[in-house]
Amino acid sequence: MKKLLLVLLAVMLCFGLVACATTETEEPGEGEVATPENPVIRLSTTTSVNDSELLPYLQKEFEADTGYTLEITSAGTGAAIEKGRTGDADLLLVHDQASEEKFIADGYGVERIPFMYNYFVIVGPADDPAAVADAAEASDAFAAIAEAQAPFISRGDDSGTHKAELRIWEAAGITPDPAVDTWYISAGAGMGAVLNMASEQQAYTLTDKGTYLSHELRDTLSILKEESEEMKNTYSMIAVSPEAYPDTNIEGANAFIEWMLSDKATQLIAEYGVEEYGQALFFILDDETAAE
Amino acid sequence: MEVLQETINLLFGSNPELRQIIGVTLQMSVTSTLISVGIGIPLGTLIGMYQFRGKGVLMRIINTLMGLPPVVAGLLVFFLLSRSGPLGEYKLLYSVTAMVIAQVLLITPIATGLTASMISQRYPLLRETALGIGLPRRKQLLYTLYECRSSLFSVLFTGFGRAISEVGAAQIVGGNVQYKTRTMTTAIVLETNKGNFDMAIALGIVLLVIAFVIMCLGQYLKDKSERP
Amino acid sequence: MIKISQLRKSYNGRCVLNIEDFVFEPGGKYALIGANGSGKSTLLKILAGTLAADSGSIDCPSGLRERLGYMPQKPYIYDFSVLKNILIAFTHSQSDSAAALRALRRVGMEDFAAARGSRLSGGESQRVAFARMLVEPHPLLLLDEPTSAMDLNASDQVEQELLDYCSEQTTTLIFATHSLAQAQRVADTLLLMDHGLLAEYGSAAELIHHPQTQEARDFLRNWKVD
Repeated sequence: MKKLLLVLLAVMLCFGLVACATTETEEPGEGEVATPENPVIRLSTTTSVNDSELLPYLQKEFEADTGYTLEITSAGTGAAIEKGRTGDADLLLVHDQASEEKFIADGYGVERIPFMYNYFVIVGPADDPAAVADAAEASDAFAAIAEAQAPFISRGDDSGTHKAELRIWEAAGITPDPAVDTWYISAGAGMGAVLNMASEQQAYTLTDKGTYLSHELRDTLSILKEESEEMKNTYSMIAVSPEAYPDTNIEGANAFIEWMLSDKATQLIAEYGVEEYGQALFFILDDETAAE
Repeated sequence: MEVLQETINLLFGSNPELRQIIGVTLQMSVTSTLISVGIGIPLGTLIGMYQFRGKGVLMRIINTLMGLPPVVAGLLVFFLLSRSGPLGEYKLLYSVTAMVIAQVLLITPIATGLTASMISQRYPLLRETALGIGLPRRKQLLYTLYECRSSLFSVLFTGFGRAISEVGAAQIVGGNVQYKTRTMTTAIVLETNKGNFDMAIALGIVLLVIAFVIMCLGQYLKDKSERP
Repeated sequence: MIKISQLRKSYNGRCVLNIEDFVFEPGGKYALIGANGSGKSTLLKILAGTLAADSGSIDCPSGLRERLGYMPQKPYIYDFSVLKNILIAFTHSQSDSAAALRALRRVGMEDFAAARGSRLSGGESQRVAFARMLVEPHPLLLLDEPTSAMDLNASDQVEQELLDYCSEQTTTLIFATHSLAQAQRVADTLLLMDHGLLAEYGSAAELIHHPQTQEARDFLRNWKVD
């Protein structure tokens, strides 16, 4: 089956029908650290941590400290996890608890290690036609948008953010149908592209705060609803199980996990964005929450 | 064999969303091809038939534009139609019209360039004979196009092939909006990004089948035109 | 009468035609002879108006240029029926199928009337192109190697039709040929071209048997070897 998939994919690539993602390899920094035996770690992550520049920022430090080279590919959480299933990643950094748990239950992952979080926010036009800012909870805000039939842009790509959005609709007791509800626009695109569209159409959307704050067009959209338990967005790391794929770089994956949990990395994450945006974009989970 | 199953389901099942996506894809490809060819063939014919100052430079510009990367065309149209752009008031961004505009920008140079080089090659011989019998200018043009009809069909299908397979510009200016501007190619990218590879490949096969059917139809018309 | 003077044409700095002056008398039959690249086709194209000279002038009676007939070296036969290929040549009169068929018969191509133009051989194409010249009266006929691809029978037939046509219509004929015998049979004046220059001209008897210039002697010597 996998072979057939590969062959078909190759054929389609020949026809130029599939856009292929390129991965960049960075030279390991010069220094005292000896290069490990298996130096390349393939990290599959979501667009939110990559687009907000958090990972590139950590990558430099990690590579200098350990001698590993990180190859980062970013996609929606659905695709990011799928790369673990197909053995095309050594390590995942994603944010959708339900699919993460399924990934481990299916025998592809070693352990789910939640380590940081941030918040989803509802952004939209400054004049807020649906009066979202007055809503008590995120689900009330969504209900107000549906009530006003104000344009709302959904990621529509099975990403962690998309799934979080669907949970909020569920909590609000509303199931928008893009085939009928013209105000509900299913973009099938990454967070950055969806923010472009929301800005162009002056529509509401759900975004993680980090991507919003680092987006060039942030001034054209305002944060209307933020920081509530419902809107919490937890990121986890999962090493791909060597039992599923024996050639996976489990040493490298563990080295990255260990480094990310170190005092130095947690300090770096907590400081990230403070200088540029006046606030932290990601927060470290304390042990109590992590143990939940 | 999941892929095969998916493909068969897509091809023969009744999937209203897929039908809608195919509809948008065809609407976009056919409209943009017709407009591009409608501009490109007459323009290319004029450029091919006449000698004038700056023809060499013009041909080089057209040849460069033939290689215009779709994402660049997409970006240009995006800025043109953006809320803050010169045509922002018409609110055309993320519509099929926007995609057609971007495609026309991509395909017109191709249609013009191919026509011009084909006509430049064949016209001198046709012209000698036509002038020798004293054919009026209108008939000269008419017969020239008639003699080149097979190549003109190829121009048409090259344009169509480009339009239906294009993804970069369609994504940027169309936005891949479900039930509105999602095309076969942007849907394939989306399914790939979702990690839904079976569906992506199945869609790819459906796209190839559609393209194949249309090209067969084209070949049939082309052959028919050669047997008057 | 057609008077050319100081006619010059060059391509990329190479002079391909340079004729001081010459007068073609009305009703005269002129054969252009000379090696490949000597300027025969260039002169015919300039006279036909499909090519512009760099300098010089052509004086001819008004209206002549619109009514001349010109058959290029590679005549184009359109991809419709042979009959229609003839019918399009009625540019000054109502097209007439009977007349078109008569013209085809005169070149031995009447059986091909319904054939596709693109399927003809080189010699057949030349015969059809020649038939196109016959359907209307032309005060001036310019033919560029009109029988070069024809077999001997076809060539003889076309030559005869050409002579008949010229005497019926009192046409001035200028044609290029590589056959000295054909030039002798058809033309009353031969023009020997050499490197774009008009090296020598005169009646067939004069030029062939008493060449005055070294160019003519060289050209004729090579010819007789054949």
